[in-house]
Amino acid sequence: MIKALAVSAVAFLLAGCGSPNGNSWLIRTATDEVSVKEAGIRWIEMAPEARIRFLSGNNPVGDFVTALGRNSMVTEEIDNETYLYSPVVQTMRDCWLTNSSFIAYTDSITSQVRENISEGDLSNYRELLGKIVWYSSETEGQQGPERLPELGWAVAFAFDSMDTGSTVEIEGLVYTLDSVVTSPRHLIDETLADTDRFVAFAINSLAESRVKRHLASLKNTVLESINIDSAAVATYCTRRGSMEDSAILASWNSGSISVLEFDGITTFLSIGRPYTTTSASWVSHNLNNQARLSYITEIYAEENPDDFITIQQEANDFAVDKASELLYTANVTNMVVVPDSMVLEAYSVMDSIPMMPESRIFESVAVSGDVLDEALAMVNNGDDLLEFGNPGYREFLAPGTEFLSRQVYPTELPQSMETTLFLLEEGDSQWQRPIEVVEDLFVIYRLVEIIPPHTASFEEMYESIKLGLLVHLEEQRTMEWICELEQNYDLQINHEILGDLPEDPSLWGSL
Amino acid sequence: MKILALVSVMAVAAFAMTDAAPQIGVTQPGVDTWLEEIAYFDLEGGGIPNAYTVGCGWDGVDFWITNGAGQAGSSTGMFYIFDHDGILTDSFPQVNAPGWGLRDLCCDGTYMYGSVSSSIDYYDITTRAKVGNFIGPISPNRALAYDGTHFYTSSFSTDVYQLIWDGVSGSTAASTIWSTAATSAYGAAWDALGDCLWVTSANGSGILDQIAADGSLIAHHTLSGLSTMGGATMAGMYPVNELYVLAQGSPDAMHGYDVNPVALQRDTWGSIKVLF
Repeated sequence: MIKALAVSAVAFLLAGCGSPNGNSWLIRTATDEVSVKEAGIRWIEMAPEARIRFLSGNNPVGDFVTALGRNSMVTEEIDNETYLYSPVVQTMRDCWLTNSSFIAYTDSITSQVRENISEGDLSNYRELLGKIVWYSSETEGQQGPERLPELGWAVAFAFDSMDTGSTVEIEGLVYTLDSVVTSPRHLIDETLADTDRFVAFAINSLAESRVKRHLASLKNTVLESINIDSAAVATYCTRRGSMEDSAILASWNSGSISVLEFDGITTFLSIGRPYTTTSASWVSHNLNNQARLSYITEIYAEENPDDFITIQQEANDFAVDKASELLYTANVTNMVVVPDSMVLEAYSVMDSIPMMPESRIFESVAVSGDVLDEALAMVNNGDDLLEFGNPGYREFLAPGTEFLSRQVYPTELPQSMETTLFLLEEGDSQWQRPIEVVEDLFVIYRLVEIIPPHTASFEEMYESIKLGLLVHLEEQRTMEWICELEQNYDLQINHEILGDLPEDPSLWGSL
Repeated sequence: MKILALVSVMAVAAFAMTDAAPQIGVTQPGVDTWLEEIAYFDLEGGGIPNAYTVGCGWDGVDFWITNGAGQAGSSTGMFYIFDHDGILTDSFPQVNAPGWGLRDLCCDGTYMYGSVSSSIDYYDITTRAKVGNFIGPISPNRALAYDGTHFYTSSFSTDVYQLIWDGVSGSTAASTIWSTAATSAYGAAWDALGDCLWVTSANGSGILDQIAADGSLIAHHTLSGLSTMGGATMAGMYPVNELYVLAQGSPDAMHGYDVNPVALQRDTWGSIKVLF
């Protein structure tokens, strides 16, 4: 701790001796060493928003060097099978890889398809604009509605010259034109008159439809071969603990997904939040989708090996990030608790307790537009509106009640409701005019109680005090943990050369 | 704010072992049992002057938020443009969209689409001018999504329709009933990575439906902390795949779900994390 603070606070007050160069060590632990040059490169490679984090402090370079030393220790701490190489983190890495590859592949083929759209394509599109078709074929079954120009040109022009109900054979496949709708000629002519907009639309339409068709064919290829073990999926949803980690949930021509791997996929989809599903359809959908993404990743890696290496590196960085979060959770988050007694003690020692503004409690009934008149008729007849049966304004209901609100403050309410509710005087229990709080949802309400301004109670302060304590204790525990690491790793900062280095770390890389 | 400041002072006095000033008041929005909330911005606090926001779309750079300014006394609805960090950067009126105005939005990379009646209007995302319209199957075509070729729409008590527009302004889109799995839909967003349609519900229960590409229900999710939802949109920020939903609450707000960068908000740990 003392060492860390010393580095942060006085690094540049220490006059160095000697002439540091890029190879001089700047940070040293029991297992690692960072040179001046390496630190300079890390500074340059840092994202601008990350660099601002240091530049906005009083001691940017000192804080940067300290953080770099700590980062080095944390990197060592996660470099094992508990964290970085754990099955869950590695599966999350693979999910990141497949997601990114899918995006890159889609972008890549979209770009290629757009480049290949010809003047002939645009001319054909111009001719067929305004036509939507339904059709059927032996291989695709019933299709539609589809834009006619988005079908292959041979099929599209054949359909354009056919009567509905008739068939045509193209490249060995028989197609039946089931139905056609055509926009009015004058609207088509007006659209074509704006050439730039028409061309932009046609290019988008052709590119998107061709890419979509291609991706659908890849998906079908995978789904034709995938075998999802529905019994295993059912067990996974109800008794995960009874399953072997290696049990296979799904397999296809070029891959498979085990129970443990699906745990990782679930963790990726929920990004670290523990999630237990009982939905077999959710599991099956994600098994199918992961198989699709994996297959497309294989294709992308084969067609774009250099770009794929870059994505792999980014996936590795993502895995490091996730592993470090697991480490933090184990060493900090899970170690910090804020008991109610601590919150109470903090409340009791507050120098001054803030005043709470006036609040009010109301009773309400919420109705949709189609029954609003019925509800208003009850009010006019003097009937008990609560017997209408519709629960009140859900957002403000007190726990366990159907009509009674909790205490509300003026700023919480829709303006039109706030104005009226907070003008009502004590004892006025008339039902007020309905307010449409969200579309087609009307609230009819009446005042129940006025709570005047008062000193905040413990209950009213509880959440904000607890949050403040939690944030603070986490920070305190982080510092304790970091100090333990600094001792274990014998973290050293080369104070002697710091004073002789250029003030701008981006220059260290060229020393 | 006064309360938080007091807590901050009290906490500093009690625990002085820190590298830097403690951060109090970190946003802690509600979370779902599955989807983790990664982003939140208050639309009313962010500059929209009333609580009538209804829909959202993403043009590749910014969010477009629709607001039923007609409900607040104006003659037509408004668009509000927010950047990815939730900063209001622009606003301009919708064309002839009274009452609640255009509802949910979707974008095809050229146009932003939204509906106030049976008509689906489209605006150039560069000039932000209305370019044209076409007719959809319901009125209004409240929830709206686009998957690259097909649109999807639904409403409070309708099925989900898949429709295709021929590109001719003023024409009527052809449509079919695609799914019966949505629950009182208000917003929709097509997720290309997840190969599914997300549909938000306006029934006050916080339901978010996930529907497969064949129209079958994958799962009903419930977003705790949210009740009545408006529009939905994907906001793909490579490599993160983000789903945003608009909550019609107090205040109206945008909630984003997926990867969680919250670690960077912590003091000491955040400084270490940014170097990975």
